[in-house]
Amino acid sequence: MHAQRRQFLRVACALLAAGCGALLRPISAMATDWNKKGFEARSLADVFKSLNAGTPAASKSIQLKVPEIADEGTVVPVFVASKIPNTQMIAIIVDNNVHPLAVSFVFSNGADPAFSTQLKVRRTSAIKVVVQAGGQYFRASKEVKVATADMCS
Amino acid sequence: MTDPIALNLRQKDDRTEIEIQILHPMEPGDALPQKSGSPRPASFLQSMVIQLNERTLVEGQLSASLSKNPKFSFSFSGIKAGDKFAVYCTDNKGREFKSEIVAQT
Repeated sequence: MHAQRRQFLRVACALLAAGCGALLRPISAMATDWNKKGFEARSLADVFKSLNAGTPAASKSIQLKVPEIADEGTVVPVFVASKIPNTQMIAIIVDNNVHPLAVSFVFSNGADPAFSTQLKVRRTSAIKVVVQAGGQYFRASKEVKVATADMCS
Repeated sequence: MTDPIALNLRQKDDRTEIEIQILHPMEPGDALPQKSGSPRPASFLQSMVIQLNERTLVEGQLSASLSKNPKFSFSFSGIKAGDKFAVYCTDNKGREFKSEIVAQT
């Protein structure tokens, strides 16, 4: 009886929120979706597993721009753009960071599957991009040489 | 306290770019026990949502592997004057941040 009432309230709230044009899920619920397993993984294998990426195919349609040499390992600029049709998700992995998975984005409703940001790169490392497009996974990679010594990350 | 999210919109060819900067320590926290003093607690942004006229365009999952006071930019097509961008973020402590900007052109 209570379960039914709770379910009704849940559906009603979702419809109400949708009607108001508000965030369909409260921002705090998005926090509970946070890929804890992936972000706390220490091995590349575990990171890829957490993304359900399997073995992504190398793709020339992923644009990845990082400096060849970073003077400052705490602020390494990165730009990624995917030309693969139906790109939905892009993740960045810094191989030699303690926790390699750095960030992931999901794109919808016409947003360009591209972004730029700044990474902490602990030491000279490959920067890997994993793209999910149409249910398949693709990758690209570039190396960044870090001039400064070990940073915590 | 002023909201820690700064937003800027720029035209680039046929695209509108949004530049986001968020004031946040992005502190991973100490993984190893410290010799002296108390260990630094983790304090970093975990999620970001970008909405255009209340429709979600980008959902991000963030970590302390991003730089302190992180900057982001994204691009969109078909943006008209009056379109409203909203950026929402949460951090690992459950704090919520929000900012909005309206396209002028």
